[in-house]
Amino acid sequence: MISDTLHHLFREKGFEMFPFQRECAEAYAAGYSGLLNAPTGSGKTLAVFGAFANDAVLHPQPGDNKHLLLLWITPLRALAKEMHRAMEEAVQIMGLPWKVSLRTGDSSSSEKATQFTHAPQVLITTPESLHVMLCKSGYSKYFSHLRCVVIDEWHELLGSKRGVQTELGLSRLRGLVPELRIWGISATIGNPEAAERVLFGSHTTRYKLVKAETGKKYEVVSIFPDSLDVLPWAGHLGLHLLQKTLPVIYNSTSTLIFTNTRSQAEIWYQRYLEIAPDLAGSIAMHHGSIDADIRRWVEEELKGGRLKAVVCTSSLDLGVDFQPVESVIQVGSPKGVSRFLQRAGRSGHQPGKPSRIYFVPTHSLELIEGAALRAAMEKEYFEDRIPYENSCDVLMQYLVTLAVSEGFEPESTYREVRTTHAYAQLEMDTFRELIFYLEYGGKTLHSYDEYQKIVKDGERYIVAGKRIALRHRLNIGTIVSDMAMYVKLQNGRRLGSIEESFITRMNPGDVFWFAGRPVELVRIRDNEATVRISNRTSGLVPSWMGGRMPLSANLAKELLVKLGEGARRERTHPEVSFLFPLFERQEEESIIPSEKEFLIEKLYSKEGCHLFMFPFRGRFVHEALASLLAYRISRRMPISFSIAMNDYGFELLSEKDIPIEEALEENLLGSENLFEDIIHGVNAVELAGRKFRDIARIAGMIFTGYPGNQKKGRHIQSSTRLLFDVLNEHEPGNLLIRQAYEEAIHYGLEENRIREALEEIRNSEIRIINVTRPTPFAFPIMVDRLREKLSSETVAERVARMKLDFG
Amino acid sequence: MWSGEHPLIWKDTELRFGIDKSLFIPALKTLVLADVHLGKAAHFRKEGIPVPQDLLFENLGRIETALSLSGAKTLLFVGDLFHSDLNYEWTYFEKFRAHFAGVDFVLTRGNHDILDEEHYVRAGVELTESCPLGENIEVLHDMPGEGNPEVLYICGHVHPSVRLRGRGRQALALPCFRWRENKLLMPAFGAFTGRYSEKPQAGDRYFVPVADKIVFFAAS
Repeated sequence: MISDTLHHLFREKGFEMFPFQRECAEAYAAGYSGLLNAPTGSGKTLAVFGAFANDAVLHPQPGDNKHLLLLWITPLRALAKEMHRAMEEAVQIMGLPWKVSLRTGDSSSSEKATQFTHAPQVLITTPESLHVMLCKSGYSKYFSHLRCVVIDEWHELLGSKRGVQTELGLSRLRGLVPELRIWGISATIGNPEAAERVLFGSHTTRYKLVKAETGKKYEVVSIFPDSLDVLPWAGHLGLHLLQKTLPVIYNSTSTLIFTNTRSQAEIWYQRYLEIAPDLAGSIAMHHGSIDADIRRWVEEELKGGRLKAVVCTSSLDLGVDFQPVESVIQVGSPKGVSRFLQRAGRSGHQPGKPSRIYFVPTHSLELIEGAALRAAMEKEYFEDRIPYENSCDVLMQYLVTLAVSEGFEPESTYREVRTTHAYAQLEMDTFRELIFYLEYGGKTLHSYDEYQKIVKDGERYIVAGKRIALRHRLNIGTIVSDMAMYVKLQNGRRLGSIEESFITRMNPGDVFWFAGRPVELVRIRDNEATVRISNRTSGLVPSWMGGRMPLSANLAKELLVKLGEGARRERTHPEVSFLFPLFERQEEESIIPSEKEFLIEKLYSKEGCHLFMFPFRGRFVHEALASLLAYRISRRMPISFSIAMNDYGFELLSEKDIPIEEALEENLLGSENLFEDIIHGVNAVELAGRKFRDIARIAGMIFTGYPGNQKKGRHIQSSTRLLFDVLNEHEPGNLLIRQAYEEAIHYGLEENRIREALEEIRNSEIRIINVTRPTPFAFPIMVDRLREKLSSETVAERVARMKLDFG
Repeated sequence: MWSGEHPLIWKDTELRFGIDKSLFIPALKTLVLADVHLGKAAHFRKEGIPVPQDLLFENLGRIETALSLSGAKTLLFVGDLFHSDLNYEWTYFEKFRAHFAGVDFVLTRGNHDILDEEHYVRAGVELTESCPLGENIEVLHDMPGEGNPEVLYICGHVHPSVRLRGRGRQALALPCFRWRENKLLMPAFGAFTGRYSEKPQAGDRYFVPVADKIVFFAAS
């Protein structure tokens, strides 16, 4: 049933109602929950919000206008704001007496208090803010008239711990309101069945799947240099081709230029201004470190068609539609098919017109990714999103949340938590252990102990004190936040924020690019870095870690196919043909492995013996494979390795000769004891230690400080590391330590991909080539300075050959 | 435990470095420990952070080992003996102290040592700001600016570690003793303390406990 009110809304907005929008409204009115598969810019918000409004008009309840009816959860604050505006407008057009409110970390405390005492009918919020609301006593009454909760951009939350947080929130709301409708909105992913299973858990069984048919076409165009020599063999900035992107900008209404790191965005923006001064005033920059006000301004200008170009990072991947954007440029590898498509989709909103995306390689071999991306997109070969399961840290945080507000009763909470996908397999014993841990802080009990967190009060657990409660509320938002530090000018004006790990490596007087200009660091105090505008242009290049994402399995597979075409000199794509000279160069020194071959290059330099291997399977798989092989070699003899990798291959470097032929004969690539060998090889302790940082923060083991008195990120990091070392040694069975190891191996290492890679290598012909200088394939790996270590020598043996490090 | 291989001789007094991060002065029968930070685990637990409680016993056990192996008559803590406000770990420490009636316990006050004086008195720990050992050595928590060039100052507070580098791009960071001019900086003895690595300066000498040895490095 479609009401006149909804028809009126579509008419006033000047839209035709698409079949999927009608489908949503009808399913909703018939009492169904649902999952809508639709890309950005397809009218998905209107579809689901319309469905809710339509039903509310058709089936009014007494007192509707006094209660909260719709909770709209979105992963991004920026999106929340946009939704707010759109829904307010829709409510006005429909002539409904509803109040639409926004609640995020940015909302003032008086605003939040009013929202709680005088409920709006529609509330837009984030997963974290929902949990902060669950910390308030009286929340169960507040949500008791809720009709619908919508999870927007569900694919973004899925596969993250915020997704788990969302699942728990949903199970609680479902527990409060049995007739609640749950609607998700998701883009296409490789494993759509997971989106469905995880959203609905076992608590929601009456739901419909709706798909929006958009019929949109995409076109991938690589930007070529005049000749191949112009491109370097290694690099990640891509500035060599910047000039070539100017025609795209001039010929489009608006262009988005996506880079992989913030530093890269800063440098590209700067260089555009240098070589095309006429763009000044009509080109802007947008990334996560730039102050929110400036970002908002950029978004407004972009929407209004007043900007010719915006250099950005993943900060503009999601969210609001920018109608005037006609072209999209991707600088460097997008690392995955889904991300590339998402970015491509930011352009060309005119119906029937293909979305065109330009690919700018940053080094010569990367050009082949242009061909791989085109092939993968044609096949709609999207990546999977792997949901988290049994995360003790998120559950611990959630239990304390419940303890802070209305308390929780263990039996019924256990049953409710098990209705989510994340905790469907949670054992009662584990759940009890978790509560015991929260109650007593460990396994052993000493009479003098003053540990406190939650205590039993009759049948229910409640929080142990006001201080613990306050700290918990402040900690909830930290599930995603990086350690960030504000950057401001001496007059107090804020420019944005920057990763602490970067800024603390610098000394006062150092110059770096920030917010589009060179600035000089004056001092760092508390959580603020004070800078002054500098005239020095030879600035230090900031290096953020953002670019170190691994290539996805899907893209890697396509890449191998394209490389095979190149080896056979097939002119399948312009990128492949263009690279022929590079392939020839590679063949002068070495070979290009065919699909049946696996290449190992061996090189002696003054640093020692280098082995390069090229599985083409992405950085993470290479890291694990390299460590595994290094470990297996190191079992034969005492030897120390330094390991480097990129998305195409990896390097083992040792000052001693590496006996690779002998090792291969002794089953170096075997699958026996694979899991154990990986755990030993990859320095699982180190990986788990890194995972533990977030786990400790989420589980509330580390307190990040009161507002205005934040602890320094570096201090927090070192104390989490210390905590990990101590627990790892003294309580190896600890739930959170166990979780850290599981996350490191399951999510970090992707054991299956390693097994698969080994098997394929074993089944191919192994070609060991001695080279006298680094080849085009090996060079980019060799120059990577960020390295892992592996050694079978004792610390004493290694120290005996070392010198002081004056760096 | 205290290698005779790389001693530091200051005006005829021999100082020996321990692989357990302690310092022993045989002539004075004095054992020196820096930054033990007892009470830190309990302090965290009070704040709802479940640090294991065994840490206390590990620390006390290591002190006991060092005392009995060295036969020291004086145990000198170079500051930060106790991490925080009073908590139950101090009670255990008092009991532990009582077992060593023949040993003098001395503490040169560190920034963390904020208990009321009566607690130190009751436990039998002599509290002082700085402690001379003979005429040419002085022990205190935080490094003095210049000091008397004839006097060796033994300090803690920083929790120093040293970064090492080898061929094939190998690297390590290890807790160490650092001797620079007339100052000797000690590594933190406590098991739950963290560390700080800094750039070596020309003339620095490092004594690094590695497994069962002290390894010596000189920065030139």
